[in-house]
Amino acid sequence: MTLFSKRQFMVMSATALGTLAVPSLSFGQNRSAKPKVVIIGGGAGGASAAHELLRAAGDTLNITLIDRESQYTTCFYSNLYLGGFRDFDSITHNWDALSEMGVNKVTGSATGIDREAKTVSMEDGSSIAYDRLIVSPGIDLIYDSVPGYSEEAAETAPHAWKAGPQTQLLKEKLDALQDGDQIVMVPPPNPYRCPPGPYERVSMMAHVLKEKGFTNSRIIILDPKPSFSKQVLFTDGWQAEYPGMVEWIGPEIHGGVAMVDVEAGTVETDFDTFQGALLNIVPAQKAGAIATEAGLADDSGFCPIDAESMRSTMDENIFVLGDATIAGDMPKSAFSANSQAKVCANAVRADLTDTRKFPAKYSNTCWSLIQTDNGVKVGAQYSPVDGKITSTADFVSQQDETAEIRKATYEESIAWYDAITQDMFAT
Amino acid sequence: MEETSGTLCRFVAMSAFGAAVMLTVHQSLTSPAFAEGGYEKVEKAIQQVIAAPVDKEYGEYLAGECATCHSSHADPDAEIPQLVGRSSEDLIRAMVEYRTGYRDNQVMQTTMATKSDEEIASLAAWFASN
Ligand SMILES: Cc1cc2nc3c(=O)[nH]c(=O)nc-3n(C[C@H](O)[C@H](O)[C@H](O)COP(=O)(O)OP(=O)(O)OC[C@H]3O[C@@H](n4cnc5c(N)ncnc54)[C@H](O)[C@@H]3O)c2cc1C
Repeated sequence: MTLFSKRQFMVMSATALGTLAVPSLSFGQNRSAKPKVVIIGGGAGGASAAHELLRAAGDTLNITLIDRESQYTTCFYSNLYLGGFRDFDSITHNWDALSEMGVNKVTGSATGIDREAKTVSMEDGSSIAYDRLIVSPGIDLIYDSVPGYSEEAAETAPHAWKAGPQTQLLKEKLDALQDGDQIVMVPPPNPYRCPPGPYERVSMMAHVLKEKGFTNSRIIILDPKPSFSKQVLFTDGWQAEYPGMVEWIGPEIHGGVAMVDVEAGTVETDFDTFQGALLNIVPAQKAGAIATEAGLADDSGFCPIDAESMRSTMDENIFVLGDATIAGDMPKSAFSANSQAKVCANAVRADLTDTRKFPAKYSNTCWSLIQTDNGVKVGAQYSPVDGKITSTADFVSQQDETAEIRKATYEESIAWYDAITQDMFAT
Repeated sequence: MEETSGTLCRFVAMSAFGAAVMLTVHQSLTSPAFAEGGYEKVEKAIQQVIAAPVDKEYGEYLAGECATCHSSHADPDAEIPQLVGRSSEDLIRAMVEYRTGYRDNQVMQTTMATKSDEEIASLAAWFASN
């Protein structure tokens, strides 16, 4: 929560130190006795949890945040980077402000969780003890869910479903296309991170082609799903903004992807073989390996949690957040992960410092950009009902909205992006 | 001002006047007098929230939801306004106007549809004191 800016926080701690100079000494001595919260993954779930714990209980908890990276590029808005609406720097963040405010950021890969000993083992052989562990590792890709696809093939036909070099590679390839070239996209099957993401991406790729006047180019979507998020809003939008350029083909027609050949640039289905100068293949997904290896996932490949707290149903000392979880009606989004982090932080703090545990309340909104100033959104409120995170109120953009509303929706998403990244990284 | 229908907002947890109330677009945070008859009801609901019990600690927890979209140091012209430092009454007024559908924004209407009088009062109290 960025209800305090970093500046305000520092002024406050300085004041506290000034007026409480003597007691602060005894605080210093007790430091090692503070309960230890360790967080694996510094993304939408993990960073938000770190900041919220720091804000609400920074003086009573020892907070460690582990991420293998030293900076974080957001998947959210990475489609806008593809479309040329954002530069790469503007979607890349770091944990420096959280560190300065007292979070112990450890840069390295967590390789295992010893649930008996309550320690996390690190790649470099060290281990980190916890009283409560928060696991928010995001997703891993199941490359071979698409026959012929692999991690190596992703260097030719990027998935760009984890932001970073993959996103830059996709942009490079998109920008190198010529008029008449075709893009073939294979979206993932459910459940996957960011349900409207593939379709926003198609919109942004079409935007780039149209801007260059490449009206002979086509984008073919070979979807494993019979329907998708905000479908009529996207298909209406494509028809209006990119007439004839986007073709969505559902599984009833193509019958399933039989083989991808990234070198030849072909996607073979039961129905036909499609040729693309650019293939964007997004395979099926599962919880990040660290969660699975620690036995926190079930057969679905994702982690069951208690809807009241985000506590793992497998281990009472561990909480799981974000894309790695089975979160009932909530989609896998940064907004959801951030919302879950607030509930989790409240529960972790209550566990360790005897503070109040409030009822779990969650929310989500996913904004998508179809074309310049043409934004749409879908969202909901959620609460635990019979043990499951359940939608209690929802909305979706309307088909016949004015251009003014669509523009306001896009501008709202810009303000959201700024706020959520501030809320994650305490900037 | 223009009218919107609330048909695409399905509210399970009904707001004070239900989702069936005709929605009227109104964007500014401090509202001028509402010329059409409906505002009387909104005003009554606002007064009810102002009189509701406040639990500031609960308000602090609930405010976590707001921070996902409302920056604590937003640009003055950002589409989503900053909340910190606003008066409790202004905030209550805005939140109730969303909940009744008087003020238009799908995200805020949905967010407020699930908030009780006490929750709105607690949120406002917390923001106003920070
Ligand atoms: C194209 C696209 C567009 C999207 N658009 C939106 C959008 O508009 N709005 C929205 O809300 N969401 C959007 N999303 C979804 C959003 O990015 C994810 O849902 C969100 O990032 C999930 O947060 P998380 O904490 O679960 O995982 P992540 O944010 O992926 O964070 C996981 C972190 O854990 C680290 N990690 C993993 N394992 C280890 C380990 N063993 N050791 C150390 N570190 C580890 C990783 O380095 C990573 O930093 C989009 C996604 C995509 C792909």
